[in-house]
Amino acid sequence: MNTCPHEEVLHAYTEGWLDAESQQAIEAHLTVCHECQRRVAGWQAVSEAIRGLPRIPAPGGTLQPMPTPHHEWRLVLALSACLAGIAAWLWLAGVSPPELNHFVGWTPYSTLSESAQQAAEKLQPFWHTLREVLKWKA
Amino acid sequence: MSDAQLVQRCLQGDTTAFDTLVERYRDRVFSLAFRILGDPTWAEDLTQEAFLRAYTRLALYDATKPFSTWLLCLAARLCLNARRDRQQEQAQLERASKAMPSPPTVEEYLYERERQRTLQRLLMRLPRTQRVALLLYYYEQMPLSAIAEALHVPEGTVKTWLYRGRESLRRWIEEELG
Repeated sequence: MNTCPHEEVLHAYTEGWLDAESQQAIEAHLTVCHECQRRVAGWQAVSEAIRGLPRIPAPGGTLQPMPTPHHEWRLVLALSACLAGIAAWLWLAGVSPPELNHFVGWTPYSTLSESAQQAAEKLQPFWHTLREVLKWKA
Repeated sequence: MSDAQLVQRCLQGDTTAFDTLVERYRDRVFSLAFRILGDPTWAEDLTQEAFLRAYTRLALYDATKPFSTWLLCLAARLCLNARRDRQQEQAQLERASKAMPSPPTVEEYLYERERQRTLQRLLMRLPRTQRVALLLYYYEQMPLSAIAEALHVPEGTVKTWLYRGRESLRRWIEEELG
């Protein structure tokens, strides 16, 4: 190889990213080309210097305590208890199980029995708040 | 106890396991953040954020790969995307060359310290993508594939960043030497 390889190829050589044949060709070129030798030596010095940078101790007290993972479980438990309470209250108010679908939006309001409509109206603000909390959490 | 075992214990609710991981990696994460950002205060904030993010995303960690690679890549990504307003950026660049924490002052090391300061200053002149690639590859000695995955770019792009970064540093050092 008489002409100098492209710089990016020469750089790949220093990292051993080329196939064996190309590596050998560049090695042969380096024996006769001082400019490429100088460049390769410069890159190697740069990477050695970066490798040799010391680690720096993190300042004391950098990290605040991590939140406990139980927070998520507490929220899930609280929401489950809340939903169970609402379901029990609806049952006591005379809402039949198929009518519960209304509260997740699967049954139109007009098809509900009178007692279920009353319960739905009373529950509306709670249900709205709960949905907001769930949206915020998501 | 291995990192993977600590992660497993942490996922089972043992918070002390994560404290052990923090102790194990805080200097390494802080060093990488400092080398990328060039500012100890900013690096401190990013270190905190990296551990918090690692903690909340621990379930996404693939235990077949080294935890250190996952954590450091996460930190590098945060550093890469970290933004400050122009005024803070300017102040940071001015502080960068003086920001090396002081090791013991022994005469023989003065030259070495100066060399490290110069290198850090020149690293700060590089585009952040090239700096992150150089630091992950040479400083943290991570494989190309992990760097490419962490930075969401093809391996070829990482190779190009490494070449350009190394070439710029080589040229600037030559210029400084006159």
